[in-house]
Amino acid sequence: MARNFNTIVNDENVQPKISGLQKKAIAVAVVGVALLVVGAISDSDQFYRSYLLGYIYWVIVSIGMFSLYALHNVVSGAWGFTIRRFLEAGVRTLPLMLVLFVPIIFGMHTLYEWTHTDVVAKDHILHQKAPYLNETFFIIRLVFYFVLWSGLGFYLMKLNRQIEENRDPSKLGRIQKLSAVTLLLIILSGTFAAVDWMMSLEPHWFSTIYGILFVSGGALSGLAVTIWLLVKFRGNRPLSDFLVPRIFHDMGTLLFTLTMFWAYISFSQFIIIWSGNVAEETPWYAVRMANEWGTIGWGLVFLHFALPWAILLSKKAKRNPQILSAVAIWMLAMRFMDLYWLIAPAHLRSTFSFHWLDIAAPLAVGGIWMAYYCQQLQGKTLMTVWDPRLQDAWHRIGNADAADSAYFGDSPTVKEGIHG
Amino acid sequence: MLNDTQTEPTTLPTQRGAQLVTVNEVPATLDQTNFPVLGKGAKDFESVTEKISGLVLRKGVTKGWVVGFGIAFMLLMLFLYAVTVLFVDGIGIWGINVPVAWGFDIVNFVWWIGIGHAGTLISAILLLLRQDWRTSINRFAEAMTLFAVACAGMFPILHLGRPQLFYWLLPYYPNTMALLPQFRSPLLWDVFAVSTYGTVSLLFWFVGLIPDLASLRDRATTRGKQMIYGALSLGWRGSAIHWKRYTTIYMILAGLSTPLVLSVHTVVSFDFAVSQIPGWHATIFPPYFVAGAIFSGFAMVLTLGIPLRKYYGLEDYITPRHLNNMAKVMLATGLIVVYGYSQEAFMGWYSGAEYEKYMIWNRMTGPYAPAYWALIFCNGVVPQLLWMRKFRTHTVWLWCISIVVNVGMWLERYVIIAISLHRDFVPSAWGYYNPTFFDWATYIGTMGLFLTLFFLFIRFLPVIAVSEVRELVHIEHAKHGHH
Repeated sequence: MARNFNTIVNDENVQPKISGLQKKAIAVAVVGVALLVVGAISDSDQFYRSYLLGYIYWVIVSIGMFSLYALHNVVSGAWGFTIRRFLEAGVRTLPLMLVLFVPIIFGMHTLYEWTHTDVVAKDHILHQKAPYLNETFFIIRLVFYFVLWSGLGFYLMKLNRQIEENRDPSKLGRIQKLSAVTLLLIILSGTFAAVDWMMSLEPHWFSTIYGILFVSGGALSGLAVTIWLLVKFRGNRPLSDFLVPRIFHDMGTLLFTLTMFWAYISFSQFIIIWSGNVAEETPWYAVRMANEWGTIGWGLVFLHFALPWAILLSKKAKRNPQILSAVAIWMLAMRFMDLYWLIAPAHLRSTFSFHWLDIAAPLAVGGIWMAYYCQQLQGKTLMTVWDPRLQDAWHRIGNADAADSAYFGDSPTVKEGIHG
Repeated sequence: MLNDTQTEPTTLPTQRGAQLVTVNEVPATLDQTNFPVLGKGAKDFESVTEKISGLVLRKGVTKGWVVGFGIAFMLLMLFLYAVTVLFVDGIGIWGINVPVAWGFDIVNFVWWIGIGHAGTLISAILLLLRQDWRTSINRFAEAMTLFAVACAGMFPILHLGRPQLFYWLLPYYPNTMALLPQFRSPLLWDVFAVSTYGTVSLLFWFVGLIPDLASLRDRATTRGKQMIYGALSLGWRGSAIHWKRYTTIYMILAGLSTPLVLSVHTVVSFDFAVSQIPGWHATIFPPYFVAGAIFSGFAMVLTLGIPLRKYYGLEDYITPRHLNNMAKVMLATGLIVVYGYSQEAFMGWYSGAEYEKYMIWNRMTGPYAPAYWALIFCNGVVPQLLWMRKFRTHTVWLWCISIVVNVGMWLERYVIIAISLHRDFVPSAWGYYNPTFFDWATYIGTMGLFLTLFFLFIRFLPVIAVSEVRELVHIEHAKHGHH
């Protein structure tokens, strides 16, 4: 199989594979939505809480893929070219996520204490926060986030498409610079989204690092989904021509880094609040460290951090697509556990309970998300068709891979130089 | 690098076969591909070794060096004076007093420690990330790290009051006094973090120096130089087995240094964040401090590197590529720091907590407001010029910006420490902090220490890693393919 930069086309199995995935996603969505309807009728409060969890679980995948896309445009490593299509499809799900927010607007009264005017009137602190935490401004911000993200995302994709189609590199500099700005804006607006959607569930509590936790957690979720897809399609051309072990190695390193970063940020927040032990902040952890919540919290330390960290420490594991994919799927399960631990105690407080809707909601939203995502993936090549940096990236990755392959004895993949 | 294929442009027929596109058509707007990592003067092994070891092995000293060293040494004498008075009279000569019991000492400690971080990032993280542009700047950046850690270490030890008992900070055995440090205190973690950092940085720097010291030994013409450089080079013969072991240990040290880039300043941020003082107790502190450290460190690398490059004619080694990339790192980390300011301000308001709100209001409008706004100007406004490539590669502008950032990062620590302490919970306990002559003398004195060490370094050791640049020359040639 020659790595030919001039004929990047999908093999005939790609479209059926995407369609197959989409059909499964639709089936999950139908069952999930049916369950949600049953849940909404039987227990509307629980429905809204579970729906928020399911929604957040998936919206950060979209935001995370968007941030990885912006990152790729800035740094242009070889790993980014292999996943660009997967990331672009993720960016295209952003408008869908605005639509899927609608049930939360209907449930605001159930979810957010600060929407109750009588409570706010009696609570000095909430009263002070009212200029920010009020329903109108909440919705204005919501729309603003999605307009900003979609606008930047679709514009960047348009510029990239022009480069690919016209083989005209003149806009590359603009993409690079705009993507750097975009990354900045994602972090900033994502921070406020985190305050709006999650932090304000407990409106007296605050933490300055929370936005970073939200955005970097999203990047981790987005990367995990991307790795799962990349491994799923690794046998199909054009990806199969380009996926040298070094690419998986780099993806694994990125997953490793983001996992460590998650732990670093989570631990920093914990140690500072625990040590300070002030009345404004400690209750948030006091609830989450007692009874079953505490078990989950400790579980996160070992299962969200220590276990994947130990596995990804190994170069062999990172270079093995099956292991890498298994770790990515594991991380997706852990992301659920983390978000559940962050969100659910806001309403349940110290009584732990797990409702079946907490599973049904992520499945329903996920089914819809994945079905829509597959639609965005259809009809496009799985690889970047053209980019002036493509050859350079492969030249470098080829050198690194040749050295690695000599060391590991795994498939020497650099059979033909780019000049040959 | 794409421009390396210039000698033989690779042609790519387009998919539609309409026209030919060559790789050389990469637009001028793409920075990375524009600047070669080494200049034309660094053309072969001999020219590299000759140039860099020549700076060390030449006879005598230049006039510029004498002037620079003289100024640095005078400042060092100022430090000696300040410290002598301190030992005679005690800590009372400084401006600190309750409520501001931590003043310049800790401000300067954090400032110096932060500066060191760029050296570690350049030598360790950029090595692991396979960034070829680290090669020309790692040596003097690592030296900067060591000297900065030495300066930083002065302040907590001098602040002890009885500095001769500094070893009480360590848990030592036998524990005859039944006196162990408080393990829950980040100040103790600082002792571990900083001493580990200093040790690993020294080892890393020295291991990297060994092949170059051997080159100096071989090129030295006097017996004395041959003996000194010979002893320091530990019998290096440049054999394959030497290189194999060298590469292994170098990678291990890089791996060990990498977490230190994060851990040291994270622990430093805990010194403040684990307390309850509004303005100190903020969860954003760890990543925000780490970013600030790298920000100020790169500023200092530029502050030192730009004159060094000019006066020693190192333009072929510290190229626009280096300046451009360092400026970009500065821009990125600067933006993270600004994000930190924005979160402090927003959460100060959003918290609804009386003291948090007052803290941020006092910063912006209180007696120290000029310091706060100067900080915003230095770290938030001026670095935005670096979005433009013109400023990233113009040495004079870049040097000025780096100075502004150094000042800004010092102000940041001053703002965090002095403003937060001077007005805390009870208005009757409020106060005001004024640094005294001795505060300034100690601070400026450590600059003397730093610069003195740096001038000695550029006179007696190769400022650029000769063996690594030679390796880079080899790689660049291999990429060209026709040399």
